[in-house]
Amino acid sequence: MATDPARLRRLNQALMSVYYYGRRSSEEFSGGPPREIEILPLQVAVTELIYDPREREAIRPMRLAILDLCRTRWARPDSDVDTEIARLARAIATNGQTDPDQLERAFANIFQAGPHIDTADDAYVHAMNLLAPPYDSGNREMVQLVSYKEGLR
Amino acid sequence: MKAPTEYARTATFKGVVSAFSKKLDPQLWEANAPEIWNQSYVIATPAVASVLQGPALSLAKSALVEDRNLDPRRDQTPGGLKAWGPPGDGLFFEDVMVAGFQFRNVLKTSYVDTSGDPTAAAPRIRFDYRQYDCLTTDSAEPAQGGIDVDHGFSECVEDPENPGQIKLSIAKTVRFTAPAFCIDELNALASITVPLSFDSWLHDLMFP
Repeated sequence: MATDPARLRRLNQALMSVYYYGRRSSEEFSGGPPREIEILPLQVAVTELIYDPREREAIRPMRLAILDLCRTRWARPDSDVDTEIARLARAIATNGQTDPDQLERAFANIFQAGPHIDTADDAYVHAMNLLAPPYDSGNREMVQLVSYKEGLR
Repeated sequence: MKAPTEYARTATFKGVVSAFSKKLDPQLWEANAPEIWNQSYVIATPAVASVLQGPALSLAKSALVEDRNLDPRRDQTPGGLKAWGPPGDGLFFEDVMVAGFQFRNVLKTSYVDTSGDPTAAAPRIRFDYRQYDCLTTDSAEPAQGGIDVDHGFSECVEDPENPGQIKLSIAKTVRFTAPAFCIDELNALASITVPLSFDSWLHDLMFP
């Protein structure tokens, strides 16, 4: 199937906008949001990503977006992020033909009293393992993410 | 000029190093992440390079064409190369989208994967890259160049501190010099696009 460059560019922009949302208060943007480079509002960016949940090119950006929003949400409660995580979870479930209600609940539980999560990176790892295929130690092609941290240790 | 953006991450996994064989291969970026990379391939080294020496060698081995708007020739090895330079040429072309702009960039690279080699002391997959020449930047103001700093590596080895686990280290330092109308903004956005590219690699390791 031919890939539409315009669609890929929109997915790229939407994904970058999701990443921007979680880092908009960082030192790099202390002077305000970019003016020359278009950043989409979070809800618009997610709408772009989930435009057609069964679209082959969209599954990867949707996964990357929900994983990063889990970092963002862990850093501080944000009902807008909760809403967009839920929308992405349902879209990903549709693409993967799993139960949307179940996947939405699993993501919501990350930020409730469920798993023991100490850092934004822990939230990312937990979310990744919700989406990734179940780990089978007998299959040498498979891996399971244990930790993901800033810096070289 | 703003200092380059530096970023590094370490991930640990249950599994074996060979599970990452091919998955860390930068030749696969274009197939795995088409929303970021339009193209990613090893540049063909001219056959003439093998018989040249001295300054003529360095000129011939650049393997770049005179027109910066033309893509370098792709190495045609069936199935892609399994390892490359040094001592070989190691030039690698990427056509990558960053913040809506298209950068056509050439890196000096090396790639090695010993995870399938029973004679290797320890399984290891490593990719090193260093800026060589950014050909063009495509934006409202098309420009030659556009990246003056871009270097880093990814390495996957057994984790000596945690038997049965593997460790992936990734590092990148980058600075943009075009488009002129938004250099500062684009370099600020590097604090987003670099983590995004790392997460993108991690995604490809986790999903078939």
